[in-house]
Amino acid sequence: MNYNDLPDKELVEKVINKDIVAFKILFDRYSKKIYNLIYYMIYNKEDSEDLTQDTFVKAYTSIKTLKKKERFGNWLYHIAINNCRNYLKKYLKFETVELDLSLPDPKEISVDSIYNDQLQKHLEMALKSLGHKYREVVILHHIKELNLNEISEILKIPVGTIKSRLARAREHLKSILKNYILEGELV
Amino acid sequence: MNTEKDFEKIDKLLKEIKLKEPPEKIWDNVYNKIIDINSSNSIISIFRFRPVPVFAVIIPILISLIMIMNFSNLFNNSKKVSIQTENNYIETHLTISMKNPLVDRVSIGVAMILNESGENESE
Repeated sequence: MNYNDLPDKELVEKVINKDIVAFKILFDRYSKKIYNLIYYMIYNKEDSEDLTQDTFVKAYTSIKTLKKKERFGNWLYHIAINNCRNYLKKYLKFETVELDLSLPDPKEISVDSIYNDQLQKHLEMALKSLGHKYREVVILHHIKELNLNEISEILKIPVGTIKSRLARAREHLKSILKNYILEGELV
Repeated sequence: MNTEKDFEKIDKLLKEIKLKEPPEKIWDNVYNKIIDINSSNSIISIFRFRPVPVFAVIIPILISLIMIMNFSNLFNNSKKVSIQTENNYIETHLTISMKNPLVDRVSIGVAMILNESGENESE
């Protein structure tokens, strides 16, 4: 039997019966997404590794409580987000975000070079400058490409609230990344 | 500036964020923790779900307790016994029970030890 072809639901049922191979398949399916979600929430490589590990261990120990087994992914995101919130509450109570707003002159940047490390750095800084509750919505929507209903299920907040948070986050990002947007065109 | 178009540009920019590869050691750590959890759960489950091992532990403890209580009852009925050796006189309380031959053996054994120690002291 090839476990890779099995849907989440069947793998979850196997994990409940202590099948570690099935859990490894689920880990391979979601570890990158979970790791990046956590990394872009807390911006600390070592702690992202620890929280990713903790997320999967928590998932394993409480997988019996998962009612909708086909929604394993969203449930895992929910655990990861809760881990991030606890972490941010605990360690970054007095976090100060330092923004390097000295962006390069867009006219000096060629179209091809827009995908370089500098853009990555500015995008990451722009994301970091968002408040936690805005950042988690942006990451889930834009990086994880989840729809509003899925985000609502993960964060346990109404879709309307998610829409308004996304709109405010975009406004903020627009003001920071304005140098990359010239007269309605992407530089 | 068209806000909707700007938002679309922002969305496009955000899609350019590169995803990072998680280190492989994460799975190793997760795997080790799972093994620990499974083994500790199996130990706990012996006491939780299986009555036979529980009795295997509790019954010997109960038997030991009963024996200890039995001995203490016997000691309550102890009598003063004097043991005369050649040069020393030892006086102690010993348990003598006519009902329990095992205890009789114990008390005789104690008497013998006392006797020997008395001899040693006399030397």
